[in-house]
Amino acid sequence: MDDRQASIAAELAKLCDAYGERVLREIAELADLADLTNRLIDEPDVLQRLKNLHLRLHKLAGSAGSFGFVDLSRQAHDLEYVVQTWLATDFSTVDEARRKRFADSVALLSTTLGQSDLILSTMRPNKGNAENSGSREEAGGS
Amino acid sequence: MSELNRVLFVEDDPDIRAIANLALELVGGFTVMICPDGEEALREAEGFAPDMILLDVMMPGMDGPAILKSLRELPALAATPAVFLSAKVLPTEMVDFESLGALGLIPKPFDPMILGEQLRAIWEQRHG
Repeated sequence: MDDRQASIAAELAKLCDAYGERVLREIAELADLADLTNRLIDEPDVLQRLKNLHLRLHKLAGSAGSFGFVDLSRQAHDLEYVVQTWLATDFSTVDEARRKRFADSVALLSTTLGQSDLILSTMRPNKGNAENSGSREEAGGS
Repeated sequence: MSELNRVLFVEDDPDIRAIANLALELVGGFTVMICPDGEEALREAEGFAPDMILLDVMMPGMDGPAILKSLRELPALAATPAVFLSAKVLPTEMVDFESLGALGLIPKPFDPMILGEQLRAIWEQRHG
């Protein structure tokens, strides 16, 4: 690894570490929001909460994938899609068990954080990064 | 053929701004200005004189297409190449983007190690 690559790798590691810490806080907030949305389904602002959840899961899918957290990105995207379908239909008809499973799945996102593929790829000697881009583009995008 | 040197990126997510800054500046070697929203982009764009504009699509307030439409009203940026960055875009939306002069779409999540190459490829396709 030459000096430039080492510099990029070091900067990338710092960014991924900082992101990893922030994203755990975001996931905790999303879990609270999902739980609240589930429990307060009859409240007038439930739709706004769902839209907020949708946008934040969308953002999480994009950012996690871009930082190389492929599993987290995929799972956030899957949950984003669930909320998208609920927004397109009548959320009040979704049964409680399903809503609870969804809220639990959001909370479990923190267990999918793992290690960034970006960091792993910079540790491999002289591997082209393009070979890693396929998996990142598949995760969380459509 | 003129080179791609200066990139203006508009993105509301601070994490994406951080990784894109590494991707465009450190990896890509570009001179970069990153704006968190349309208002700042409209204030700074003319002075920065970008060769290319890169925009996220989904943003609160002014979204990417709305920002590009407003930037196009600035004479110096009327024909500046633009590229969108987004998780998913319908074909009908892509037609709308192309009508605003967007040259392409880079899917999100993106690979920060090749984002610069992707922009250069789009640039070369336009100028080649």
